[in-house]
Amino acid sequence: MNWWKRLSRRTQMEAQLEKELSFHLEQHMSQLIGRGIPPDEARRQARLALGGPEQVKEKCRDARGTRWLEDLLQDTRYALRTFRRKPGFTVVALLILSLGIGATTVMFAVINSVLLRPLSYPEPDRLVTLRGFTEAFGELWGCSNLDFGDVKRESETLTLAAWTYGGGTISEPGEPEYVNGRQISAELFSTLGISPLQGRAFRLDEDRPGAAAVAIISYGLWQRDFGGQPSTIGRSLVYDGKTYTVVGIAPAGFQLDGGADVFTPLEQRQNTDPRMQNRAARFLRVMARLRPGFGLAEARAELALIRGIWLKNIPSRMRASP
Amino acid sequence: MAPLKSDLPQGTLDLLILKVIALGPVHGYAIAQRLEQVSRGVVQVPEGSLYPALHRLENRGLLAADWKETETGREAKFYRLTRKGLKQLKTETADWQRLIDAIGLILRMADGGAR
Repeated sequence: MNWWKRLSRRTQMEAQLEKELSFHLEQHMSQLIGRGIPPDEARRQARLALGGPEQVKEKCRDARGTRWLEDLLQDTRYALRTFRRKPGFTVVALLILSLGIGATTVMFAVINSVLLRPLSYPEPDRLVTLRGFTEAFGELWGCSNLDFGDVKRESETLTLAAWTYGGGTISEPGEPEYVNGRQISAELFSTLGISPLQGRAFRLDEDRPGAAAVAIISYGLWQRDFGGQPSTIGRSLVYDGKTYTVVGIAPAGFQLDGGADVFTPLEQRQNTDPRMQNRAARFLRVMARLRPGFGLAEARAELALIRGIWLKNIPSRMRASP
Repeated sequence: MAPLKSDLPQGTLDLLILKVIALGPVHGYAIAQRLEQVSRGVVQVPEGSLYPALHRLENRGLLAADWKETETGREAKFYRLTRKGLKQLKTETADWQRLIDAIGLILRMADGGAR
């Protein structure tokens, strides 16, 4: 069944529902009038007995609602399968999935190929970014850490990861040198679908306040300051005045909006960086991967649900951080 | 004096609707009327739940509906039972009968039986 037919069927269904209920009301009214009740009073009583025609209509729509939704999901799945074979269409499909989340709207957008170049990632068509959106500023490139945490906790269709910019001076080993850094959440590598060249990605228990200071370094830094030695894993690095243990080497060419040499766990800064607790500070880049078995339609539906929960629970917190 | 009215036990409305419709194609208003008449006014049909129930049963394929003229020349939506609906009615009737038999046995139990 095509869209036009479905829409017209829906309109027809509404009309029939209206007709059915007014028939009921008229029958009841004429019976009451037959008993000598004045028309106005008869109308009132009939409407009362039916329990509010609008409410009844709403319940009737609900009673039918699921089939309509199921048909819709079916269509969407079919469409996505088609889109997958025609990548050009996917771009369009992803861009129109905008989602309102309270004052902050999370929006799917195609992962920026410039942002992630030059590495390629497995199943890039399942990678998406989440973006903030506010009434006042329109679409933003980032999300706040609190928004990120909420969606990450609630979502069953997406695995989420976030990162932000950093940087500092490496004072040991080698000559002191200012380098670009990135603070990344533990799930970043797994979400992108890649592994460090050597060592490992951050563990979840390292991505929280008070955890041991660990770092992943770039291939370039590994070559420059550690001579490309395999024994680099486990060695220390003094970065921004703090001693880190190197746990991994990023693949050569790994970039997050440009190159960086030191990657540190994002959530370790929860209590030291005031932006981490501020819902208005939309400074995180959030990337997500569709979990197996879920498509964009499901992810979108789920985000709409999460948005509903936010709208219910968040207003006070939103006001606390204008 | 108005007769005492009872609320319908949970889940029985569908069964009663199926039963009334099994007697022949009928529109919503007549279903409400018949339920009330047959039960001698004891069963109060919550009209607000009658139509959602009809639409739910239709959506589940237990009922089908046609628009037809009434005796007075008005067009109304007449519901009829599908084969699936008839099967459902038989199953639910048997379940209900078993339940009231069991409850009847317990209630008719001699006083000594409880000790």
